[in-house]
Amino acid sequence: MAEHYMPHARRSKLVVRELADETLVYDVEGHRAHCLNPTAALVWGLCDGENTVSRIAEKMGERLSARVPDELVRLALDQLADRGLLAPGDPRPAMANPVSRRAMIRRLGLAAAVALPLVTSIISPTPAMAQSPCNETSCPPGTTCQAGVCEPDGV
Amino acid sequence: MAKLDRLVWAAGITFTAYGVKVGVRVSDRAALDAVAGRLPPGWRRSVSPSVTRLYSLISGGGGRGFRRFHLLYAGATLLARTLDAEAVFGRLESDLQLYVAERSPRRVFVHAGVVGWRGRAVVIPGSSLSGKTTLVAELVRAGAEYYSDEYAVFDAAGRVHPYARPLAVREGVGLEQTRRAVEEFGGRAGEGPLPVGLVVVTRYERGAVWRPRRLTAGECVLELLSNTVPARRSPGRALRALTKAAAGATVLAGPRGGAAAVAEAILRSLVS
Repeated sequence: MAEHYMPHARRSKLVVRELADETLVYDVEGHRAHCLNPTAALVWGLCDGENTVSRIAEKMGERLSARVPDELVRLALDQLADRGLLAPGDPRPAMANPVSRRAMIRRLGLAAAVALPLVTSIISPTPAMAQSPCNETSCPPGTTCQAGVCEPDGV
Repeated sequence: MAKLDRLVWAAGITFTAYGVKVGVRVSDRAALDAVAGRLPPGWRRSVSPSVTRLYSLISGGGGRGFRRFHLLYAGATLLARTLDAEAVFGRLESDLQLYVAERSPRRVFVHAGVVGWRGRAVVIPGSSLSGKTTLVAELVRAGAEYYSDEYAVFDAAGRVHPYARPLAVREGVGLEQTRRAVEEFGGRAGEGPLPVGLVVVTRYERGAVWRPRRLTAGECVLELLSNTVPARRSPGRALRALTKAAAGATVLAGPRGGAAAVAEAILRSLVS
């Protein structure tokens, strides 16, 4: 079952910007932004619903001129799935032996030619969060933070 | 809103700031001067009465044996009800600033301090109380041009424009904010837009030593985006501007100690 799994990336309701070797993805539904490092971006780009995990690893190996183990692809898929970047209903099978990032580093060694996949994420701020003019601890004595503003006490 | 419209208004002003049309009406003509001093940098008086947000300021004050609240509304929403006149003007200023920053159709506002140095901008994203203004003031003392201690204002090409209001310095026992002109720090305000040369992601930590690590362009965009006012309203436009801004920039991140030593190191890293 797992060997026939063909991951499918989510493409809807996302704003995607390609950088030199990273990919930025903004989820307009969840208001989260993600930065995919080159390896994660490559895996995500190959998730077209027609490539198996092994085929993705092969294609990556061709592009990077290095051997890419299937586990590395699975590690990327775990992160992409956690961030909601695989298509809804993507039939990702549970991994029999899930591989942690730490275990992968040990297995590949420090001299690995391919960087481990990494997806960094933030929650996009509301305007008030971006402004954050005050909080409950930041106002001077005699005032209290009310709706982002230090208001005199007793009002 | 209809109740507010029925009141007698002594004066008002309509203006445009960064492409956003706003109006303020006041119940006491004398309040208008104080309002004008709180408008966003670069505002221009507008002749059109058509605005997208109308503020209504009802002045309170004291009489014999009674005190009335100052009231501030944005549309029909009560923003402030206070006996402190300065507080109500402060609330007007911060709400106006945020409204313009969120709605500007051509600029992307990121909460950040900015200085210019040898034709490039140093951008220091961060929320209030992260020590932005202190660091900006030190950079200005070290010879940098002042651009902003509040917002990095990006255009579509990723260049930063000045938002040079007086610096909001926290002083005194209660760390109250006071506004001080850039000239008090021996500096001057920059004028034209600048490409971004350096992004510094930092906050003050007692005893910390400045040993920054480099971030990638993508990580830089995430840091900027997490301080971007219209991030949710215009994510596509924000990402376009921020990726262009980050493309040619060095990005340094780490906690810092005292601002003076760090300011020198920051300017040196932009030269090298």
